[in-house]
Amino acid sequence: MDRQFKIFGVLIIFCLILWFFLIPNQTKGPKEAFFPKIITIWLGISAIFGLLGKSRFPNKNNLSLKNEKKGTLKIIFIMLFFFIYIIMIYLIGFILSSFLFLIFIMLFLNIHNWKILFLMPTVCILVIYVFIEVILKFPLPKGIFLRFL
Amino acid sequence: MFENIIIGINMMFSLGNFFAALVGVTIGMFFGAIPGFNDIIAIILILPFTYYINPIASIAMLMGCSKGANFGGSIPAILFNVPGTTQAKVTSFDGYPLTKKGQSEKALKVALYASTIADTASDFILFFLAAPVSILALMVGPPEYAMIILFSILIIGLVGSEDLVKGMISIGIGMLLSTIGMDPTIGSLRFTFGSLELSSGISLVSLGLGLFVISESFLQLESCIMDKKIKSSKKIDKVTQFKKVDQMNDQHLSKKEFRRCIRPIINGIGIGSLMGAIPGIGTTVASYLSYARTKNTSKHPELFGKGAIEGIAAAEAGNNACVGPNLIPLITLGVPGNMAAAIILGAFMIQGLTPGPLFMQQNAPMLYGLFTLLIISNVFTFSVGSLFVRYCKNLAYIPKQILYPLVLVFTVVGTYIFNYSMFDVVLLFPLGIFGYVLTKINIPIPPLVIAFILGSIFETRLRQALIISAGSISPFFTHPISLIFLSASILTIAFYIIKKKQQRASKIDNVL
Repeated sequence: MDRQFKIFGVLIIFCLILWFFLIPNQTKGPKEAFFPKIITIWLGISAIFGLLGKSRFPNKNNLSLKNEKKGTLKIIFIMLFFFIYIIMIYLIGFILSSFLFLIFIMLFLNIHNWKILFLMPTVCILVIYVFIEVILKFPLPKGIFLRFL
Repeated sequence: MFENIIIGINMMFSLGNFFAALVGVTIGMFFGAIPGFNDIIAIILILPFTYYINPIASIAMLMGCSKGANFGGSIPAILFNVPGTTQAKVTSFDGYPLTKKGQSEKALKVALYASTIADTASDFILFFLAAPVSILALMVGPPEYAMIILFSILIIGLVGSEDLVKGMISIGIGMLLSTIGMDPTIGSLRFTFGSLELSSGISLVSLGLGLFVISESFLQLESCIMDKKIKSSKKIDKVTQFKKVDQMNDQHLSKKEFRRCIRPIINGIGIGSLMGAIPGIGTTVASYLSYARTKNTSKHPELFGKGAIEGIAAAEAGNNACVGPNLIPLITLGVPGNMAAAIILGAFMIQGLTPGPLFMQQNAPMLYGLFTLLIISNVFTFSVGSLFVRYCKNLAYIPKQILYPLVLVFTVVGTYIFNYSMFDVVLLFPLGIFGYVLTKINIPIPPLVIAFILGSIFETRLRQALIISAGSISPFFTHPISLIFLSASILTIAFYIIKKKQQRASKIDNVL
């Protein structure tokens, strides 16, 4: 199926869900629903124009698609690292999780110089700690496990 | 007015305010000097830190950041032909050829002088024009205001988009996201799905950092993975090679050379100030126009593009002269002139201040204090810029593999300390991926953020106008100012469609 058709099609379906389910369920009356309905019409009309008109999404040749697939696979890992990092902040606090995150992500990005691998995260976290927590007195996240230590 | 100016200057004189402006300028220059970053990313990154300081210091820090990034962008443009910001592209036309001749420091000095002079002049324009324009703005009521905001969203959103439909979709998504949380007139909750954290809506900091910074970091890291073959060592060789040539040449900017730059700077100030005061035009267009005007009126147009210092002066003066006048529509009407001004509008709102027709009247001393600080902060731009010219030339070659992971960590800290909310930090992840996907399918992000910032103001004014007229839409067509802006909005779309059709036709002609 054409990429353009898929994207604008999804948007039209989203507008229908908004109009028939989300707006009636997530607003309390016609006054509150007034503006979201206008935006839904705005989005719906734009999507219809997109389907009928000449808006084009980038089409790639096979070689660039192959290269991009490799990059996309790796970037999915980086996104996953970032997601785990956020969860780790919640669990073990900012300092430890940031240190681990920086080391893992730099290793993943092929930095094998051990001085850089350890020095950069240490300096970065030290600067953040001194500036944010010591000078500005803003508490950094401690994490639910380490809070009780 | 005079009394307000005196009170304002008194309010402004504090070490904290000066320090905030200095920090803003330095951070802006640092991020401007790194390709891939720009003034918007720099402003969004420091936005959470401004929440805890007074409004004068906070806005001066953000404006300082914008000023710093405007100049910072010219450093890699001149040295490596890699513009740090989009507006710096024009500076590279003559800056890079001058670097190739071994006169990079001279080129950077011209850029710094032109930037600082134009910036100072534009701040004076803001100082003296804001009050008269705000008197005119008092004629604006809810229907007019709603139409002005609609016009502003459309013009800022569409000028930066390649495709009308995608721009409209981006604006629609931004406005839809602005409806999450409390209804602005009744106060009931919308689209919160029972979540307490969403009751105050998505924070601007999470949205801005997620869509701009996190998604940009993902994209840059992806490009870094794909371009592994391009070794930075080659580029470093190039830098050292230029350094060797530089040492052999005269880097001093003589009085005669400086005098040659005065006319281009004046051109830049005139064009940039005018472009800055009109919403949607922006710094890039101003620097192109200023450069073109200087080239067309020059006695030696053939030297442009080959290392003419007048070209650098015109481009830099043009883009920096936009900074001050950009605040005129923001402060007097509550309408941001460009993306940076839209974020500064968000910063005002975070501080509990809503720019609009009465804003100047109610906060005149504070605003005059701010304007004075902006003028003074040009001294910081000059001093920090001089240091950057000498010592920070190689910022452009910080490896992405090190820089962007650090940016991700700083983004998380910034988001957390804004509200001490882990929910805001968690939001960064889906917003970052959303921004990444939007960029991949060529849907522009700036219109989305602008529509998000202006969405709730637009809804409030629209509903106020409808309440006053008992549900009738006639005031939008019968009030002259409202009608002018409604027509201007329709004309903007029509003009945009015609322009794109012409561009497509010329492309087809070129292919044939």
